[in-house]
Amino acid sequence: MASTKEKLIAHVSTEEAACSTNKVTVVGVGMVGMAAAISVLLKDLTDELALVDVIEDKLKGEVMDLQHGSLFLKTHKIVADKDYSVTANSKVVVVTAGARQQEGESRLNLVQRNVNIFKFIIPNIVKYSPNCIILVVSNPVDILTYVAWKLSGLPRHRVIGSGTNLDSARFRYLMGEKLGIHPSSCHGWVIGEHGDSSVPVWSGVNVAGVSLQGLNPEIGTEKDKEDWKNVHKMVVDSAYEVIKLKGYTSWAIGMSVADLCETILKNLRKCHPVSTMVKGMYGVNDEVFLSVPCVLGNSGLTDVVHMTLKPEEEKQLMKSAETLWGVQKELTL
Amino acid sequence: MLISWWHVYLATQSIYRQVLDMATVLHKLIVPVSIGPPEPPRNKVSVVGVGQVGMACAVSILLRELTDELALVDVMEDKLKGEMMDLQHGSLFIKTPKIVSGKDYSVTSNSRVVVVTAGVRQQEGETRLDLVQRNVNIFKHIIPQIVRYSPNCILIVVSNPVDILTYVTWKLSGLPKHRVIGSGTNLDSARFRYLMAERLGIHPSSFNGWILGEHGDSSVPVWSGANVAGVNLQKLNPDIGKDKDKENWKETHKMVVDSAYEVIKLKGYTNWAIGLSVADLTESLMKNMNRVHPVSTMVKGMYGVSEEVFMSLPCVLDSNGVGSVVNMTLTQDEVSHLKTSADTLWNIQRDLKHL
Repeated sequence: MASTKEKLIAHVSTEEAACSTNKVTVVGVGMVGMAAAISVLLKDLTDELALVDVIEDKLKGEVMDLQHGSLFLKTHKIVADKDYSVTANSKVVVVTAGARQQEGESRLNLVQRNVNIFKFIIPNIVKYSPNCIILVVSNPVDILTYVAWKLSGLPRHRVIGSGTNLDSARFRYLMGEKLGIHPSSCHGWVIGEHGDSSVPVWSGVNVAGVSLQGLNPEIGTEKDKEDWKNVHKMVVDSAYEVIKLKGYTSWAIGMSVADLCETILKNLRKCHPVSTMVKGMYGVNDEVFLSVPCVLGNSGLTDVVHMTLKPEEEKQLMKSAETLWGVQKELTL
Repeated sequence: MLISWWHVYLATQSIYRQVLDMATVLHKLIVPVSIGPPEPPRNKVSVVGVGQVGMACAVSILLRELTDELALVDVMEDKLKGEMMDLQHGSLFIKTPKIVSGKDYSVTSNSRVVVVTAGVRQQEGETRLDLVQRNVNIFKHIIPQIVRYSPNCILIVVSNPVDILTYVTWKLSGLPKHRVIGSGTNLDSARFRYLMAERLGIHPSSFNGWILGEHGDSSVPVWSGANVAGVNLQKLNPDIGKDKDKENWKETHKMVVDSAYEVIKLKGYTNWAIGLSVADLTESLMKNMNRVHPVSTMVKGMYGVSEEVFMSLPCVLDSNGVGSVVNMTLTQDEVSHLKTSADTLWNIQRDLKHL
């Protein structure tokens, strides 16, 4: 007796079901991981989404909740497991796992706790997706991108840190508010450490190619009567402020991760400020990861845009690099 | 608000500075061409309640590019401000240029759609009906304020028990019934279509099936309408949905009813699926699409229901709200099921105080 399904549907293809072509894995289903997952899903970026975490109930609940929304999405396969085999053949793996900043805590404090977690995660990711691109989000992102790179054995163009992609987005939003213009028409790059010592490159800040520094040579300095420097300060304080108000940040970082995934999966070759290995640039002599404008595509981080920085800006980068190296060299990997 | 005060500040500054020849960056960079107050929003959505459900609705609506202004309201001011800031920081990546929030409902003025997610949520094991009186008291405060600032809006009620709270909202708002919608079984039907489609190996959108009636334990799966490409499943399997069905398709509906309880048990609450389903409804309303959705509407006079209860039926949604209701051909069983739900709901509604 044929089943209802057999009466309804006749299978005709002789091939096996095709593999996913654009698979994305998110490691860690906390607030950041799930914000990244929903942003990736709503932007129709992938044909398969995998979630991994250690807390099995939470993981199962989250994947069911997403699956129940399948009618409204174009990602047919949403899977999850504690075991990394579920992540096999991913194109991009977003790592959000790890401890998060408490109120008032700096990102650097989280380091060793998160290194130990990464020692388990990273080799597992690479085992099942040896050709993937790893996008590190967990903080302190620059150091953890270095850690992920070392633990993965992958070439440097395939391990990227979300870095100052979010800081720059916040900067452009605040700049847009000040000028009454949409953030996408306000151009400004925040580079360096994703954290307290990030560097706003004032010489590049422009609208329609008109340099704001050309209009206001004191922009970004203490003497500036319009106090544009405060815009950068607000960017640095943003995360702390939101954490104080709602306990964590999620939506903005989730959207910025989806933005990076889109560029990578669609091979757009857009420039993003993301964390990459900068040894040999700007006088940096150690293997540190800092954010600089990078060209991203489906093979990963293929090129770096060379910014002309002022001596003070280069000095700031070198100082960040020293701070980061100071922490990195004490790590047991 | 921030921008107009900034402009006032800059205007006075720029006059002062023009005299002293020290114009600001803004003044030097940008030449205003149209003077006058900014236009009111055309597609504003407000979300009341910034808990997990409210924020999932907000993010889904933002990422689906449905609105030019989003307002958030809640009583917890810190959480509210933090959520607003977190969304604003993502402005570069979305196409909603104005995101505002406030404890005061004036921020919601001129909304086309207001999504109400405020209220207490089901605890593990608690039924939706248990939540009722707690949420009625909250709504008495919320609904009149919403209507005061957006007298022409469409209200989408999400808080549970949704069918009863949609009735409560309708009563408290004074709005005509076509402008008060409950998210109802839009989500149940989405879950049903997902689970059925998984069994058949196809995409949920290619499986057509409706769950109507109460959003909850007594929802009604209309097996007589279940089809793929117009091929009616009940014709292929006349036992479908019954206890004697060897393939146990009835289990799928049971899984739908149990879904929420299961997810709540695993992660503490549900949010993503309901957020996506609300964005789906919002899209139909905003774009005047005349799509049919199973949402909670006033069903007095239909299927033998003689009381003012709200239950989910297939409604054609347009920019005025519920334009019309599709007449389902239901079996006697299904009709009596609906009638039973209506009676259960009315028994609770008539005891509600302070309406």
